Amino acid sequence: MEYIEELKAALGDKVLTEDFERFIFGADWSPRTQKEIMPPDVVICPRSTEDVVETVKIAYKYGIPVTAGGGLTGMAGGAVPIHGGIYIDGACMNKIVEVDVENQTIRTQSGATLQELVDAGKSHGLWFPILPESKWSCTIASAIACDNDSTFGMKYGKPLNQVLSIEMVTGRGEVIEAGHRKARFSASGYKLKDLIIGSEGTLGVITGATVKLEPVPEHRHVDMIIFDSMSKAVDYLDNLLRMGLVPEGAHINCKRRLKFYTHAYKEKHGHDPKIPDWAGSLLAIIFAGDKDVVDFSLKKAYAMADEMGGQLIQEREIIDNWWISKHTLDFPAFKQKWPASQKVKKFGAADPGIPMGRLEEYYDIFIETAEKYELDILGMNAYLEHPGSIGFSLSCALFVNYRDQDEVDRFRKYFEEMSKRAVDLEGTMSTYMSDTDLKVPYFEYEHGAGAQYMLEIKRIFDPKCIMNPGKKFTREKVLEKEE
Amino acid sequence: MSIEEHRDDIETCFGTSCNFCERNCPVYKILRIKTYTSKGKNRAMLGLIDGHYDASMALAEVAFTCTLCGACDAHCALPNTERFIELRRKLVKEGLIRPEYDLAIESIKRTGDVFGRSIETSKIFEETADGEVPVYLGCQYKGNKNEVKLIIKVLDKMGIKAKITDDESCCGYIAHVLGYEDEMPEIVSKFKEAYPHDDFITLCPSCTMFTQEEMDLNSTHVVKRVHELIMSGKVKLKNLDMDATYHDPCDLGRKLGVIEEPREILEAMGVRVHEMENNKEFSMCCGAGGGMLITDPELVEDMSKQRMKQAIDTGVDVLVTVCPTCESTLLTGSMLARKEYKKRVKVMSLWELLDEALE
Repeated sequence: MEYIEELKAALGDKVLTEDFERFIFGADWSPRTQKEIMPPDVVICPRSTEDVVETVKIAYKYGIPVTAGGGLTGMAGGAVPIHGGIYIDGACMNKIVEVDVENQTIRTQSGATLQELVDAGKSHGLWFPILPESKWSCTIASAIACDNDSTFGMKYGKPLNQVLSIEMVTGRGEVIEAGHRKARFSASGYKLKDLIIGSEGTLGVITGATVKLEPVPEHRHVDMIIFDSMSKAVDYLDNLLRMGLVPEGAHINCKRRLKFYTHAYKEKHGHDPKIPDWAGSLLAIIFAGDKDVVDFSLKKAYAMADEMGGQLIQEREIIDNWWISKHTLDFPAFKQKWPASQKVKKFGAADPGIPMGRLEEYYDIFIETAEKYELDILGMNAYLEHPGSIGFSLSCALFVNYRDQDEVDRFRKYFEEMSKRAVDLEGTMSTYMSDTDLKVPYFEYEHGAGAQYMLEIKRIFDPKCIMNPGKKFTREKVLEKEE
Repeated sequence: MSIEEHRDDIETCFGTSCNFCERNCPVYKILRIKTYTSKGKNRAMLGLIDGHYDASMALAEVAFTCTLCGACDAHCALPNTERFIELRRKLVKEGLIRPEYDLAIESIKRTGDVFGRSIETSKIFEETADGEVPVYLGCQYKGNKNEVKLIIKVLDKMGIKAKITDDESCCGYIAHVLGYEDEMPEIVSKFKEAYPHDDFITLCPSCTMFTQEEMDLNSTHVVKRVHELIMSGKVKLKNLDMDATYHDPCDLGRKLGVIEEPREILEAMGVRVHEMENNKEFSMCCGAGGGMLITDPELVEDMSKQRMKQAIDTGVDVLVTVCPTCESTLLTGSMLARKEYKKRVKVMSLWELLDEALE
């Protein structure tokens, strides 16, 4: 193909065209069968923004789709090149440009992993707190592109709360810097930066970012409290906030979900952790800061739990297992959570957001919908992801047999129904996976007339619809006007 | 076994796709291209099994650009490196190899030495003529006269009378990791014929791993023997009162589980061990594993420099290791790191320190 020859002439050995090389980039972590691997036609391994500009300019000239990816740990196919064309392996660009200790910021190329940002700040007593379990592989650009989650969201929020500025190559091949440099906020101009966050690479390819770093807390303590319902755990967190206590992180697990995180415990003891029959939820809660402040917070938190009928889990091993599985990832080799649970089936989830008063109701919908589509329930986790207030990012997870097309199809029906039901409850379809191609058919269910404005924005940034086409809107729909 | 028989694991990797294998992969950390990761290679094999494409020289380049260090296995429930050797076997059978590999294998078959040398070890190490304990040198140590003499001296001080003979033939480790399956019976039988000992000491971690794991022989790495003697209190050591970091050879540490023993030996000599960022079962390869010295010496240099940067970051001046390949590779890495980071970390073998510590 002519454009590939042009790419080779411009970028040399940064262009991969072998069949096996392309095949590797045809799928992410989302439930899909092997038949649904969608290799791009060519892979680019850029080392600089200029390499990306060269690539996009050639793509623009020929109208070739460009999909950029990072760790490819997405759970809904966001970086899968469903229209083929060019795949940009953003992870190739991982240079840390500047750690500004005084201003507590870091400037990085787009392909640095979230853990690499943490590592870069470490010797300065700083860290980057947007840390999902995929932090070893998920790049900062990918985190921005889908506005993903963090274990520490209750204090630090999401990328939207931590990103100060983004460099992006638009669908026209032009470089823009969207944001406010190292200033924490700005009232000037339109908030293009916020528009890019969660845009899934449909407006351009992110090539760099400036993000906030935070001081590493001196001390951290993780606990788990059992409540008789999920809504009781929500009330408890609300009470803590009313008292002036802001946990660093909070995760409300249903009883089933805990088992997923305690695989190593089961391996060791031969049985699952013993949780009382009356348990309706297990709230994992994290406090961090100076030790005396943490101790004081814990004292108040324990007293409130007691007052509300909560029961503190005393067996530290259960909590440690959850924490290792969730954050440190420091499990002994061969004892991680995957083998027993993912040998045949894999993790698959819907990611809706709902208002704080609807959790119990939505949990019932989750169970009912999973059963309706005859899917194995893994469990629900409500991640608290809004700084200093109660805002859920839900993981409504199942085990999906990725070797069985019928089961994968049923999972997608479940995914659609769960998304729509969240909107019905005055919530949102997505909180960390974004829309991908899965939510395209029912995109307007949430956005209504607003979808048309979004479409026009897409056309401004990407007039030929080459940027990750098929995500949020069909390619045909974006190009309708031109035709 | 064929790669098709690994299908279940390959599909599990496709289903899991966690990318944990990237975390400490020494090759990926330098090249930063996903095709070189464990997941990348597993995915490439999936397409191969399913007939999406045939094997090619380009695929072979990726398959052989791997140290087989097992860093991916340490983060995974699947035995990936075993499978990568299987892939190499397939590529070798299809003739998708570089000529350098053939030359190495020919050398082993012709001379019993991977470098094609004919060395009369009994003359070089004549002090072991009356020795009692068979010590197998292996190809790497055979040409390293000074270090072997030092080891003989240290063992002698500890009461072990080493016996080194001319009967050595390459154990076959390198042929095994390069995937020369058809040549293995000849190489292994030549080794067994030449070296018919049931119970012997090995100096090289790779020879130890191969003779134990693949041949089921009763070989013991010399560090284990030395550790036993020191821990039993039979050997007195001086206090060297120094700080150092320890580099785990992949075959000795991650694969054979000899992790605490060298550290305890160092501590017994008064050496305070400062761990590098990657250590013990999560150690990072020096870069020379898996035949990489034949495949891509420049990349090996980059990887050795990467490892020495971790040593620099500990703040100590000495790195100790106990593998001839790691030692020579890290010496180069130390020079390269010194140029770039303006700090020198001296690479020493455990034997140098033991010699000093033994009365």
